[in-house]
Amino acid sequence: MIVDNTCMQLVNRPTQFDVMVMPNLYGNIVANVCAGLVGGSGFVAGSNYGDRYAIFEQGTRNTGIGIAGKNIANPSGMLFAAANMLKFLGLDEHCSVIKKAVLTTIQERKLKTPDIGGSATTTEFVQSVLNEIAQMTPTIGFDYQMQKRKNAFLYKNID
Amino acid sequence: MTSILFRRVQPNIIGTLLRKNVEQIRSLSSIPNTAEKISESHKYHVTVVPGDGVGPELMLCVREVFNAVGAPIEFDELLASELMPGRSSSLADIVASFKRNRVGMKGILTTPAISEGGDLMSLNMKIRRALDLYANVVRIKTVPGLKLRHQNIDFIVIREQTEGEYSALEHESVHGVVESLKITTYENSRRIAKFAFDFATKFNRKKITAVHKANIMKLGDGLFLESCREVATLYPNIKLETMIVDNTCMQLVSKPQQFDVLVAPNLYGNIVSNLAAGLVGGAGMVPGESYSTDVAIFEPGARHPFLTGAGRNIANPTAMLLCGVNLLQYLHLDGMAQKIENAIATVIKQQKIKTRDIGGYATQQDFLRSVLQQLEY
Repeated sequence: MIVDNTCMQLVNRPTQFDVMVMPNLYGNIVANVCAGLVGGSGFVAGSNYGDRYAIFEQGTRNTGIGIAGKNIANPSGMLFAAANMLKFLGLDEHCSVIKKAVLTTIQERKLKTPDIGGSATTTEFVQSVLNEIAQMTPTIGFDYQMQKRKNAFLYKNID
Repeated sequence: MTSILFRRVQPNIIGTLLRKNVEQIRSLSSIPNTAEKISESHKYHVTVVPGDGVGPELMLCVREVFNAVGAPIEFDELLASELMPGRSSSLADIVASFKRNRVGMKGILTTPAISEGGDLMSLNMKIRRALDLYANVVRIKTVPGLKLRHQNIDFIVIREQTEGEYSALEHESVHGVVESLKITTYENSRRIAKFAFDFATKFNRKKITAVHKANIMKLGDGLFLESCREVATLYPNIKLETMIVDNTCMQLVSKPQQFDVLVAPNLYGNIVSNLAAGLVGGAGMVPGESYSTDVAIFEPGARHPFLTGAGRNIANPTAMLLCGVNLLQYLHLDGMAQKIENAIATVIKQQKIKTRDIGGYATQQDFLRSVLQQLEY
């Protein structure tokens, strides 16, 4: 699909897309459009994969200079990225606990940071996430040592 | 008491006296004194290139509407198509016709996967280069009556159309490595910036946002930005703002009401104008114009020929009809333009007849008939 048609379709009917692959510049633009569709740059987690290394960051590369130090940034994007990193290392339950905690905070506790239309601060949000995790951990029963790696997504050394 | 009466009556007497004088003068002179007489003898010649896909049927819609309104327009139609290179008029003929008439309407020309001569530049780009159509203007405005995610959008996207990423300079020096050149010149950047500021002044716009990616393409987009800033110093009443293209796209999707005029180089302008067209209802709703110093061409804003819809009576004629409206306004036939625009707005607002792309079930002819019906009122 030509990139201009793609952008138009993304705005009109985004549900038709499943996986999109594209070169550098178009990917930058399309990723930002999609991030805007799902709630802004505070929500989207991105991962960078290479042959040897993997780096997890926020999906849209905005530094957020304007809101630095004001305690109003949305930590969900970074938390999702961290959870993805845990999954990459093979720690699936840890990943799902963090993600569920963040989603419960937003959906059930209704704590939203200003960029998605609420008034909570970052510290309140993170405190609530920590409470959720503390409530969930007895059910999955882990201690603070790393569990055995299951289906770890590791690449072998190339050389 | 009498002075008040005198004051109220006096202007009327003078008015009637003046009118009588004017009619006497008019009947004595040989100058035709009615607008109808002028238009019968003088028709504007407009070059029309219907294009591929649904272009020909939409041009027929425009013709019918113009006939209904009585517009003094004579269409000089030319076939141009890269899909039928044997029957297409040559580039020289097309360019000569546009230059002679100085106004034109154009459908969308498809660029086929394999072109006849094997050259990298499409027919669209060749026409734009030959006529030096450096500015493309797409007006984005929400039309009441459509179910859209964002309301109250009203901005203009101005796109540089001759250079940038579309220079068609690509080569493969080493097998498997293709090099594409993106050309940015000071002259063209300054020209498009000046056009944008003049346009904003003419239509009373307050803010211009320059779209760029100068953090990555430091020299190319940096030159574009520098030219915009230079031109901005000549227009102290209009504010210039710069925004990186990915942030622009995100803002367009979350808060499009903040934009007033956007000016962009070629590729970013293409993407941004299509994105913006999607916000207000899709490719069937948005008209566009292309300007050079001597020629103005009116074509749909989002360049999709809709090949799969050709001949199926499902295309939305709104974009092409609004192009026709803009054409009439350009030729200073404002009354007719306003009539057609009101008719289209009424039909869409009533929400009974909507084509498939804006969420209804009507056919193209249904929509056209209802617009013509509105014009009869």
